[in-house]
Formats: sequence, structure tokens, C-alpha cells
Amino acid sequence: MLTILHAALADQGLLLWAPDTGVPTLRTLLGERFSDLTPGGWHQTGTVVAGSAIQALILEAPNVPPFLSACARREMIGSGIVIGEDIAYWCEALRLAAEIVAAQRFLPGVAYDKAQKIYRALWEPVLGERERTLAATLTATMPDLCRAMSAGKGRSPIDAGTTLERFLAIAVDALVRSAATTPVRANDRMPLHDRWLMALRDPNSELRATPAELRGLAAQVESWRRAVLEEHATEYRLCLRVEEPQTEDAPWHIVYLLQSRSDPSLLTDVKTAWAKTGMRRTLLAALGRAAQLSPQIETSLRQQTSATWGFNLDTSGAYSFLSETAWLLQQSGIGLILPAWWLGKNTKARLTTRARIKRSAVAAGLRIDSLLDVNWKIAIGDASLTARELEQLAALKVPLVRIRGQWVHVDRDELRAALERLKNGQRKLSVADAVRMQLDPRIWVEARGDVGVLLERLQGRRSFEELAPPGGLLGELRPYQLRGYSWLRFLTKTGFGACLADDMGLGKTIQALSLILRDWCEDAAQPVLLVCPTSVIGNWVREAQRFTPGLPIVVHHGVNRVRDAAFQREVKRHALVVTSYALLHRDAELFKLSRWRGVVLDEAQNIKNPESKQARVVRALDAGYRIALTGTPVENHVGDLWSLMEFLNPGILGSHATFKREFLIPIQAMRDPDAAERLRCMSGPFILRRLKSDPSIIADLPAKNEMKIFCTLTREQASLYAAVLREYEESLTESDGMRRRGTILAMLSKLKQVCNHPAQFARDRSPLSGRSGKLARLEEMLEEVLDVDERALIFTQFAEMGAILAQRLSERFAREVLFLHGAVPKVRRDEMVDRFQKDRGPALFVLSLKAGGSGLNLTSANHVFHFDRWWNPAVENQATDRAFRIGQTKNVQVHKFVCAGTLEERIDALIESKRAVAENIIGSGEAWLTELSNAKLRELVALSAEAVEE
Amino acid sequence: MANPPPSKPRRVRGGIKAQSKRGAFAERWWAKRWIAVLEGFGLGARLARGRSYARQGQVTQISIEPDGVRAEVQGSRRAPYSVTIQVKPLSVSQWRLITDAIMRTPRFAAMLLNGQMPEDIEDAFREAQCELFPQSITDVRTDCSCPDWSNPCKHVAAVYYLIGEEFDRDPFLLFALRGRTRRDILATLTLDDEPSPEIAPTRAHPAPTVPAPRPPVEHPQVNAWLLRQAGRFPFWHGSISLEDALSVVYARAAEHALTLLAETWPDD
Repeated sequence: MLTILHAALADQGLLLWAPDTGVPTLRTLLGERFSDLTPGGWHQTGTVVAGSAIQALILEAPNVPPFLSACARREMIGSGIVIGEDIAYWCEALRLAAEIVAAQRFLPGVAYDKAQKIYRALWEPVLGERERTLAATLTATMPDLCRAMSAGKGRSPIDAGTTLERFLAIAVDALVRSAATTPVRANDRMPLHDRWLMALRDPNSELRATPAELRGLAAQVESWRRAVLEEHATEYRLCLRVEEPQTEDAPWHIVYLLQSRSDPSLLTDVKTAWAKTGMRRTLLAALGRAAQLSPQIETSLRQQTSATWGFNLDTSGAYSFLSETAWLLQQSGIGLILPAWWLGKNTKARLTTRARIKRSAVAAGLRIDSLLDVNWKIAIGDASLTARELEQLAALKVPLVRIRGQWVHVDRDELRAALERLKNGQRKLSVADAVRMQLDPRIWVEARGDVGVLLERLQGRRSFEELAPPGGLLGELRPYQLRGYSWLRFLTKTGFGACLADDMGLGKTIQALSLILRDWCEDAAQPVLLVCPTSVIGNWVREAQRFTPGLPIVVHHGVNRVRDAAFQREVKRHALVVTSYALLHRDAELFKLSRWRGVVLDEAQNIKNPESKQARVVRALDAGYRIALTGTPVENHVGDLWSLMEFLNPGILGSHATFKREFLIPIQAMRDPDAAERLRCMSGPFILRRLKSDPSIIADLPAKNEMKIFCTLTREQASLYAAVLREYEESLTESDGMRRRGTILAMLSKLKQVCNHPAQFARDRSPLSGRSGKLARLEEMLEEVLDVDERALIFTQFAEMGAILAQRLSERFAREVLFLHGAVPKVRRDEMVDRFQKDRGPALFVLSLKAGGSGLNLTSANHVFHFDRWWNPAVENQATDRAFRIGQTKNVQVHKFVCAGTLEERIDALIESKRAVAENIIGSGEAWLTELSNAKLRELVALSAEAVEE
Repeated sequence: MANPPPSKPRRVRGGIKAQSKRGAFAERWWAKRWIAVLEGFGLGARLARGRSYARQGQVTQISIEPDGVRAEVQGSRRAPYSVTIQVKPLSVSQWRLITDAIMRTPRFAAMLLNGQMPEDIEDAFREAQCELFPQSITDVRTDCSCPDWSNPCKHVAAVYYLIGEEFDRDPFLLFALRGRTRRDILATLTLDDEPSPEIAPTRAHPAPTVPAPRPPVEHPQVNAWLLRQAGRFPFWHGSISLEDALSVVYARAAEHALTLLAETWPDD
């Protein structure tokens, strides 16, 4: 039973309540989940919400950040508790509060608590431009329930702006306080200021003193903070513009202007501003404040009797102004207009290092470790500098200099590094080094000949060779798949690792198989190792049999798998060795001994943790080339990228520690766009990702893309399956007529249930995970679907299975999963459909195959999963078509789950082969199966060895 | 008459400690002027004692009231002594002349608004036929409840020095002692015809119409920079300085917040 949790702001923190749920229940549910919050973190209160009296829980201030942080970005917490939109809002507000604290924008203060009639020491936020803008957006989007508590009897609720202010105050204080260590308890004999300091760090913020002392302290605090807090709420602010001279010895002008906050391009000079009274106080106060930060500004105020225009500086003064004073002024809210070359925007004025790579002498085609001759040049803009000029620059006292008509800020470290390279730099680079430098936007690489071509191709500025499909491939490669296959070949031939990250359903398997086939045809020397999740092994085998039947494949799996010396012999005879991640780690020594043509990782997110055993083993393999396949948007998961790249192209992103320092922290914690851009440049050439929605792909995809997903049975399922077969063996031979029909249908139904899940078959409430190949595969695929914010319908013919799936998926993904079956009343059904169709509705919908009637419109789904099959194509298609209809704007991917080596696979094959006349013969039910002979039936339902995963 | 033997005062925990450790009290010229008056009294050893009392933190309380300064100083007796200091106020007409003069020179207002006393502001006062600073004993009335018959005594001297230091931070204090608070003065300047910007640090702007991408969090270049920007606390009497006490809190709070952000909202 789902319950929705709400939270509104109260004096001490947040008040939590859920409609139709009593406080003791709520307290128990939340207490389980949040057992580590301070005891007494929940107490009960009666209160009024929107006119009706309810019972609610108080969540006190210190517990607010951990609670909200646990709720952030989730739809549910604990069992059956859905997070209301008001709580999601508070999570966003907490984020702003945390950013305020991270930027250290808070000051200690003291305030009178009217409710408790005491004074409290507290930490108060001080908002700057950035925070004010974010707060404005938050204020405008506050859900009404957030303010529900602030109304008393007959009073209207407090406005959103004030409510947000109060929340930020509570949250910032709680965050800062939680970081302070509790000092010795204050006693009344200590000086007041000491007691204030202690109350700032104590979980109990009360400050005790005489009323006169407290009033005095409050006045002192106000006077002390005034200078900082006096950020004007006016329309304009003071702005300084730095104007550079045209010659070296002429003075720099720093000009005072008044700048509009809402449109920073609106500038007024001070003289005009002075004439308009409205701006004088702003101007004066700002100038006065700026004067405290910069002695030059102070001096400028002395020299005029009327409003002053600005001041002059020599080059040395300009340098210290730009490098030190400017930041201080900016911090105190004064605008600055600085020359573009100082801000590094104009690359013409930057010192660039150029590597001129000579035509390579390597005859037989470039590889990643080929060596190249390189010439170093240092340049500013278009003009290169000699070593002597560089030395002169290095000797400058002030790193601002005019070169060839441009002002340049010469970074001393860059200069020294540049000089070093010029004098003693390496004369030889490997192709890998050259690529790494090329991708680093700070170094300019010039290359001719095949090196140049290679570099251009890597950066996408030149196309690589597009190949014809390999001979021996059955089935057609769509145009984009041909491009993907050619891309894989281009990179692997040169020795680079490649990550194919196409959306699910675009055919990564066939592209990879094409490459493997081509290599094998060229030179049948060493095998390729393919590592994938256990649940997918069957699928790879089936796909290879279908598309590349000429490739000898062996699966290294199961208790009877080959080991030791026999392993080496065995793998050499095959083109492709398929194994699982689990076995890769267990048999690591075996795999490390062989030399592999290439290593392909399917669902490469399995090595996202670089310290995991499988990640380590995979990096230690002796591989000619390396490929990773994944459906997840790799570049968006910065944390996982290093492990992937380190496997594909070792060293390309530096050591893990360097990566954390240069990329992970700047991008994730500080959202630095430059670091994000650099990372994109450096990893981009090795990742190819196409989306179903790409305009170049859409034309190549059928609107309804149907795929079979071959799954395996667990050992438990296999023995249950065999047991059912045994059970019905006798009855099958003995009965006839109507009884026979009934028996067959019963047997088929039981076998289907076994293939689904042992818990469905046994109708017990036993634990679910790890017991069904189909369920495992479904969860993996849904994870990908959810990762890209898509939606899925999951069909099953069994209502019990539907219930199992709905509950399991809801727990697994911590979100609401809709479930529609025959017994659901129409009103509720319509409500579910409406919710699913909405933009922010639930993403997963489980349906029993015959639920509802026609007239269900579920077009916001773009994936349809048939967990089990109803062997009547018409019925199945009708279900699928609920998602695929006129009005559907996306491609629909249909995934039909089939357990390999069981009746599911064989009956499916039978239907396929009869497809031309299938509709006529089959009719509307599954009764046609009962028309088959016993012998044929036995063939269909037999269980082959390959059905089992282990 | 002979000076009484120097008595040892009781130790004070905390207390308002003068910032200057050695050499001259107060840095700014106007604070020095203030102190010059005291030093012109010719108090001799009492002055030195007053200075060391101020440095040791024997003054436990100072409050600025409408009718002057009240303070408590810990001496050798159990109960601290009460000290009062009053400066002769200026007349209404004198103040009018002074505010007119300030109005004529915008630079004055700019500096005053930001805690600076313009050097030539004394000219404005002289035009009004008065002096900004007390010139002699007759301009200042002091009192202390200690048994020492000399007035000013060392207790008064201690308070006097500390007030001088506070002038460094807030020049308006001098005007307040002479009869006009900061608010009064700013109110009479034409600058305050507009409503003064409210010191409301969390008042948000009206919502922007087009949502912009979330700007990056700034990483402070200097720890507890806002605390430093606020500067010296008026008459601080804690046992360690505000900055020393709270710098660690700032550093740790920022660190925890960054971790919270990275863990709760990754990859955004």
C-alpha cells in the first residue's frame, strides 16, 4: 500500500505527515529507514493543515539535511513511501543551502526566538548574485503544501519568498553546525563573546545572558556585519572597466561605471550617473567600499572634489590590479570589465606550444606505438618566438607585455615549460603521445601526412574509410551499422581502444560480430575474447549462429568447462571465446596466459569500478585490440569513465589520482565547464554513441523494432522443468480427446511458469533474486531504459507474475511501478493510464496481456517487453500496438523474451516458419498446439543442455 | 602629591583586549587624535597603567549609550569599577553647518559610508566653528568609581584607549559621542531621499523569465573570506580572536557541504 509523504516548513524544522497514515505507523516506517538520525529526532505534534487538524511528525533542524539528502532524486524511500513533490522541492532548496555553505557564504549572528522567548546564536546565509538568481527560481516554483504550516488560525500563509528564506536559514545553520566540533559546555561566568562562540558550535544554540547584554551583542553584531551585508538591492552596481593602452609605456585607465544588474551591457559613466540622484548613494557607498579594498581607488577619491571618473596605472600596477584586486572587488559585488585576452578568451593572445610532427617514415601503416619526429615551436597568436625572445620574456618583472601589437599575459610556469621544451624537448613521440597532446586543448599539434590524417580522423574532422560488409555475414547491415563497423575497424587497426555506446536495440552485437568475422577471415590466427554478463551468453551464441555461422565459437562456462593446457588448445581452434565476468575473475590466470586477437566487453559498465577484480583482470589481458560495448550514456557518468578509458587506452586520462583532481572533483562538485570540455575532447574520439532519435538513424530503423532476447534457465529452473516433463510424460501417452487437450495445455502452462520464475510456479512467497534468467535480464535492460529516462511496458500473460514483477521492480528501482490486470476497476485503470501518459509519471508499467480492452493508449512508452509469450501472434501484436500507434513519435523497441533450449525457443521457431499461413491456421488461442502429435510435442518441449546457464 | 603604589588587578578571563600589542594604539589618524587628548592630560604613570589594562583585557564591558560611554573595568577589588565618559555635544546649528559641508563634498560621504574618516573633514567642522575632536579637559567629562582620587584614573584611561581603537573601525562613533548617530547623519544628507537599501541578505530578486543553466559553485580562494571581509568585531572580549575560533568551522563546513553535494547530486 503506497503512502505519500509531505513536508512543510515549521519553526523548528520540517513537519512530516502522510494522508491516511497515523503517526505511529509513519514513525515506525521512517524510523526503520532513518535509524541513524539522532534519537528523539521524531516527535509528534498535532497541527492544522489547510484547515483540518492532523497529526504530524516534527523533523528538527539538525536532522533536516541528512533526511533530505537521503530523499533527493528518488521517488520512494523505504517500503511503500512515495516522496511528495514538496519534499522533492525541499531537496532542491537544500542543494542551494549546501552550495551556500560550500562557498562559505555565511556569517555568525544572534537572533531572538519569539516562540521560545530566548536568544539564539546562529549561522546566517549571505546571498550573492548567483544564489539570489537560484533563490528567485525556487521561490517562483514552491509547491503550496510547503507553506501549509505557517498559517495560524485565521492567518494567511506566509509568502513563498519568506518561507524559502527561513528554510535556507535553518538549513545553512544546521549544515554549518553539524561540521563544528562541540566545545566544552559554556558556563555563565565566561565572557559573553565566548559564550556566543560556544553557542555557535553547540547543538543547543541557546545563548544565555541578561537582556541588556543580549541587546548589546545584537547591536554589535549588526554594526560588525553591516559593511558586508550592505549589498544593495538596487538596480545598479558599481563597475570598473580596465582599458589597456596602445603602447607599452602609456598608462592604463581604470574607469568607473554604473552597471545595470538585469542587463549587464547597460553601462553609464559616473558623470551622467551623478546627475541622477537615484544612483548617488549606491555609487558613493560602492566607491567607499571599493576604496577599502584598493589603495588606488582610495587615492582616486582624494584627488577630485566632485565625483571622480577613475584612475591611471602603470603596467606593473595594472598587473597587480588584474591579478589580485580584481577578484576581491568581484567578491564584494563590484562589476569588472576586463580585457578579453586577460580572461583567456582570445586564443590569439595566448602562449601556445606547437608540436610540428614530420611526415612519418613508417612504411607499414601507423600504429599506436609508432615513433614520430617532432619539432617544437612556441608561439603567441600567429607569431612564433625564438628562444632568445622567450628568455627575455621570462626575465620580465611584470608578466604583462606587448607582443606584436597585442597585450599578452605571460604565465611564468607555462613560459618555463615552453622554454624547456624548446631547448631540451623530446625529439621523438609515439603516436599515442601525439594523440594525447592533440586532444589536450592547450597544445597545438601540426601534423602532415598520415599522422595528420589519423589525427583528423580521430577528431572527426575527416572521415575514415567506410568498409563493405564482411564476406560470410548473413543478414544486412543498416547504413549506420556499417559506419559503426568501419569505425571499430579504423580504431582497432591503429591500436586504439573503442567504446561503442549505441542506444539499446541499435545492434551493437552485429557490429561487433562483423568486425570479429572480418579479422578471422583475414587471418585466422588468434581468438577474440568476449566477456559479458551470464544472462547474455545465450544471446551472443544465438546471434552469432544467426549472423556469422561460419565463426567457430566456444563458450567457456559451466562446471565442465575446459581448463589448463586443454584451455589453450581449445581456444586456439576458435574465432570467438565467450565467457562471463564472474568466470573472468575466477579463471583469471587462464585468460592471462593466452594471447588474444582482441578483447570485447559487453555491458562494459561492469568494470566501472577500477578497483574491482574484474576491472583489474581485464586490464591485465594480453590483447591486440580492446572494445567496450555499453548502452549507457558513458560521457555522462564522469566517475565511471576513467576505468573504461584506462582499459581501452591506458594512460590517456592520466592516473586515477590525477583524474580525480583534474576532472572528477571540478566537474562533479564545482561544475567547472572547462574541465568538462577538456574531458570531452580527450575521451570523445574513442566513444561512438548513436541514439534511436538521431535523424540519421531514424530513417534506417523500422518504426517497430522487434528483437528476441535469449535467456537462460538457472539450475533450479532447469530441475523444475525436468520435473514437470517427467510428471506429464505418462499422462501424455495415456490420455486422449478432451482430456488430452486439457493435459497438454496444463503442461505448457506449467512449463511457461517455470521459465518465468520458480516463485510463480510454486506460488510461494519465496525470495526472488537470482532464481530466474529472464528476471535478471529484464532488470539489466530496464536499468538501461531508466538511465536514459525512457519508459517501458512489460507484458505477461499471468496476473501472478505481473504482481511479482510489479513488486520486485518497484523495490529494485525504488520507484512506483504501475500494474494493470483484469480485476482492476475501470476508474482506476483510466487513472493509471493517464498518469503513465503524463510527462513526469511512472516510467514502468506492468500489464497482464489481456487486461483492459482496446482503447488503451500507452504511447508514451518506447519499450515493450514481452516477459512471456502467448503463442498467438495476433494477440501479442495487439498488446504491442498499444504502445505503437499513430501518434507515437518515437521508435518502439519490442523485446520478446525467450528461454533458449526450451519450449519457448522451439515453439517460437515453429511459429516463425509457419508465418505465411500462421494467422489462418492458428486461430485466436493456443489450442492449435494441442493438434500436434505426441512425438512432435516431445520434441518441442525437450530441454537441451545449453538452456542452463551453469 | 605622591602617586599611590601600583596595585595588582584581578585576572580577567577574556575581556576586551586592545588589538595593538606594541607601540601606538590605533592606526588611523582620527583615532590617534582622540588618544592625543588623553595623553595631553599629563597623567604620567597612570597612562601607562591604563594602556596595559587595555592590553590585558581588564575592561570587561563597554556600551555606547545616548548620553555617553559606560564601561566596567576589573581592578584589584572584587567588584569591577564603573566608568563613564562623556564628550561635550555640539549644538543643533553647528550640526546643520557640518552636514551641509559634508553634502558639498561627495567624497566625504563615500568614505564615511565605508568606515573611513576623511582627513579634511576637520575643515568642515571648523567652518562650523567647532572642533571634531575634544581639544582639552573641559570638552570631556570622565568619572570612575575606583578609590583613586585622580580623574582621569587608569581605569578611565583604559576605556579611553579602547574607544580609540573602535574609532578605527567605525568613525561614526565619534559623531555619536558628540550628539548625532550614524542614522541621524545619513538621514539629513540628500543621499537618503531614496529609501535606504534594506540590509536583508536573503531577499531574492524577482524570478528570471528564462531559466538559465545552473552556474558553477565558486570555490573560495581564501578560507573564511567573508569573515575576514567583515573585519574586526567591535569591542571583542572573547578569550581568543573571532577568526581563530571560527576558521576551522568554516573550513570543515565547506568540506562537508562539498561532499554532500558530490554524493547527493552527482553527474548533474
